[in-house]
Amino acid sequence: MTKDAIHSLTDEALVEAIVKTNDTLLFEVLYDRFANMVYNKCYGFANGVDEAKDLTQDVFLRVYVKLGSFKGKSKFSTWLYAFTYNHCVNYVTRNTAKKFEKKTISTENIDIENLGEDVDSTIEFENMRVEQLKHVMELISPDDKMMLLLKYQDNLSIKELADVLDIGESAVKMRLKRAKDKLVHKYTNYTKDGESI
Amino acid sequence: MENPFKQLDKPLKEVPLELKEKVMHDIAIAKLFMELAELFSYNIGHIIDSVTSRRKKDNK
Repeated sequence: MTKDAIHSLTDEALVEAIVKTNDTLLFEVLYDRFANMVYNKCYGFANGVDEAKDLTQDVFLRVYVKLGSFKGKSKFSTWLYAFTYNHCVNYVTRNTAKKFEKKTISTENIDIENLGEDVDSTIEFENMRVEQLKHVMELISPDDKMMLLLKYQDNLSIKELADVLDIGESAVKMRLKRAKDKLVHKYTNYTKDGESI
Repeated sequence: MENPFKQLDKPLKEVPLELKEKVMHDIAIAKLFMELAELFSYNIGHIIDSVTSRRKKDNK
């Protein structure tokens, strides 16, 4: 395959070619396309440049090994977003799983069917200040952070989220709703207190 | 007002140049191990498949 031909391949076709041939040169092209995105996502979960570099390195190694499990159900970039976040969340929570409160919320009073529009709307966020939102995102659990980023930063639909996280659509809606509620709650308290919650 | 989540990771950080070399080194080693593992293992699925398909032909 010529260089031009490789560069004109879609992400999905490139991945297919890598799985078929195990060609590291093709993987290099994939790295060039996504290194920026993966690095910046890792940076959001890491403490500094060195940790972000290590995380990125691990993500790409695992992507190479697991590339065969990408079945093309979603766009490759969507799959890679979720893969990267999952790796980062596992890394961040490896020793601190207990640090974050895990409250069980009663689901009795929540109407899952009608959650769709509720979680799709970004009205609650519109008046939020970016700097403050950055701080508050560090105060919620990495799992919630991942859900919120996938939905509101990377614009994944509920269906895409269900596919890449391998959970049901109603589970996605529930997790999003909880994450959103926690974020809004922490954000409002943050404004009142000044710094701590 | 715009969705503030879009601004969370701005300005985008530049990927360190040496990272590519490290990643590709990792990949080369991973490839070597995967190929070695393939060399010393059997693909049971393929074996069963090829044996059964040949049997059908032989029986004809």
